[in-house]
Amino acid sequence: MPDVIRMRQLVKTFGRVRALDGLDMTVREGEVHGFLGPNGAGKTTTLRILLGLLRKDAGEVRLLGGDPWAEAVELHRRLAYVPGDVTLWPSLSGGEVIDLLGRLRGGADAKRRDELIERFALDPRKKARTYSKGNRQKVALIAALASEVELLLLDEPTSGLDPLMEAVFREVIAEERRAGRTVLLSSHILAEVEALCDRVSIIRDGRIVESGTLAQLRHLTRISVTAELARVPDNGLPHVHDLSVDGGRVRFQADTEHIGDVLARLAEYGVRDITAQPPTLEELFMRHYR
Amino acid sequence: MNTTALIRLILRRDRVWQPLWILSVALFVATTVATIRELLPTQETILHYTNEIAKNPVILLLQGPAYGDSLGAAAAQQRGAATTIFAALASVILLVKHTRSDEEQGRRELVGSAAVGRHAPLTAALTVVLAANAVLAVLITVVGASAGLPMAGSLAWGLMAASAGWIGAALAAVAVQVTQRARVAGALAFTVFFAAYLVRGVSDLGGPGLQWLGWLVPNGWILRARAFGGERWWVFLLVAGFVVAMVGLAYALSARRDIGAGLVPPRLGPARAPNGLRGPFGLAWRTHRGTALAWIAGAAFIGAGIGLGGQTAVETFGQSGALDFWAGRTGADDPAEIFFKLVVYELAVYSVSLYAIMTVLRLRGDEAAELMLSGPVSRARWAAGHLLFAVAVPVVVLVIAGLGLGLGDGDFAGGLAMTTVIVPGVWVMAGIAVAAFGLFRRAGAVVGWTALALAIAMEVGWEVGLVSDSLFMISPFAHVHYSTLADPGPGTLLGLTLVAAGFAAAGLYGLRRRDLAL
Repeated sequence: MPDVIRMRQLVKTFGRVRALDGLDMTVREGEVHGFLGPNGAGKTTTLRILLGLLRKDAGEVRLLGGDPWAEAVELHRRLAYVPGDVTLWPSLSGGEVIDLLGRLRGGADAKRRDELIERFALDPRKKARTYSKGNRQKVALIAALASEVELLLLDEPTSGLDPLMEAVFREVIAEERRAGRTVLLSSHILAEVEALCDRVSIIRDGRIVESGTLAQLRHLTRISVTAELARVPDNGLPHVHDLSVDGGRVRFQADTEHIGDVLARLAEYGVRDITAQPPTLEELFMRHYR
Repeated sequence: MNTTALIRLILRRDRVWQPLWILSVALFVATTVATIRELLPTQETILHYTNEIAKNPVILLLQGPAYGDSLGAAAAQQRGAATTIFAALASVILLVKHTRSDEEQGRRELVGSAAVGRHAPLTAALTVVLAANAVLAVLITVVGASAGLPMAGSLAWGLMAASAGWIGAALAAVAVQVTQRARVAGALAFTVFFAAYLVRGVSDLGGPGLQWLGWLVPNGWILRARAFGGERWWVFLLVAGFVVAMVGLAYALSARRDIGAGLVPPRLGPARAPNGLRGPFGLAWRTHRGTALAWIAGAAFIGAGIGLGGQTAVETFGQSGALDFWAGRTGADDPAEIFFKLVVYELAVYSVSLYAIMTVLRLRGDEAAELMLSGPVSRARWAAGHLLFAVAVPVVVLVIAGLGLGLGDGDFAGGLAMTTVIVPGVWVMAGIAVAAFGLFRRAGAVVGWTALALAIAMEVGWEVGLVSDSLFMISPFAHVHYSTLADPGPGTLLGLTLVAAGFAAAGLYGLRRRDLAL
């Protein structure tokens, strides 16, 4: 599958601050790609470079086969963006903003627009200045989702939404994926990324520290095991970490690649009960930030 | 205690603007005294001048009568009213900034969640603005007295300016309770002040029979303090009473409303966009139409007012001989004609430039640009939406004003010629602001306003003979000037237009190449 977004060794500095420091990332066609990182890691800067709002200092960036800086206008016909901090034109109503943004891209699907307004429970008649953060975000989301584009760039789109609306958001993104749209979803809500994304990139201090499918990422790390044994292992277990023994009960972390060996050794001590948990995304994420 | 902390916050946020506006007004008074001294060097010329004032409707309407025949009285007549307008405008802007703007942008909530009284932000803002005007009163007194004017008159002038600031702040304190929008609150408060100012003008035009009208509005009380003409100190008690009443009303209203809300509930808008709202130009129309229409209406009103009432009177005044010295300096044969041109020029050139620069700088504040520019809209097209108004509205405003001037004697072509030549000069000012915005990002506003301030300073300096002709020619305004210094033929106008276009092109080029300030 062709790459929708490809960035190699991307660098962006603001004065002395190096916001992006050799960032490598690829988003493939038709995938929902999670872009994870805490505040200030460089997610928004990356998205703004992809939109041609900021200019890269070094490295290579391709978006939908073009140069996002030089060909911004043509490329923007094929994508829609939801900023992390949505500011609207205060004197326009929400419905007017949605229509304006849709018309900029050559007209949005009117039926889809009305359906989304209904699902997100937005009052489109209110003036933008009276909307809360969540409602401003809904306006930008509806405008983006109602336009028929190939790529959605979403910068922490659910940070102001309530849990009900977050559920609606997840449904809608799942539909978008089935329809074959590519989505780059920046977020720090791990459950959301785990539920929605095919692949994940984790950014730290302007670099990607981990990238792949959730299965691949899990493979790189450890499984948590708790077991009830008949006998206590006298001289430890190979390939395990953080082993703790409490009577016949042991807890440890095992390297995923050696899990077979570990289970074979455990069997020698008479397993009465065992639970093994794959690492959660949270554990994967925390590993890079501890 | 917490109000003190808020006061310190306001002083910190305004540490540049606050001293700047106070010093500017004081400086304005200082240059006025110097200018008048130059223009009216003898008691005879002063007497002549003050006698003529009484016959001149435009001057009576816009500046009010002279209350004496001394140098101080002439200076206070010439620029006293203007100092009241500046002080009121600055006070309205600052009070709104620290009350309703904070509320509109959510900062008020942050402050309100701390251990801060419900009225503390209003109290803090009022304290700072009222105190700033007191400082202004002291400064003007010092400036006047050190220029050799009588102490009492200087103090009265200072108190006049400060009173206007206090009234402006009090009106703004009420206005910010009424509407949710900072811009509307500011416009409302200043419009009320300016309307009262014009009521005072009508009263002065109407002579003794209409005196009572002026006493109905605070602006009438201020001017009738009679600076340098047998000061009437008790009018300041009226001002104090008015301010106390308005501030009391503001607190009463503030106690009755929710934070973030106004007394006027926000209206709902349409659920769907009208057909015209399709892109940057449609959006610019929505953003700018209100202001543009207000300016056009103002131009029609003032243009027609001068055209119908002012022309003959101004000409009579010009022929009176009082301005022969000054007319000679401008190179004119006919002092009457040139004085009329001066009035038109001064009314038009600064105000329209102000509009043009303000409109260009709306680009900077168009924060929703991120959404617009993530669509298939080039930066140039986005900017062009705003710039169209900076280019076109000055033309419309000046054409309307020019037609208004022609209403009196039917000489529409002459009126149009007088106002429309100014257009390319205004464009150059707008162009400088575009270039500054495009090339320097955040410094755009500072550079844009500094350019206008420099042009005004050069103009004032030239009028009093401190700035030479050739130095003054740097200013774009010198080339569309009312004096014979300018040669506003097609070549000059085309040249200015090209300079303006060059600045704009440089700005748009810079804008295309730089990071957006998001």
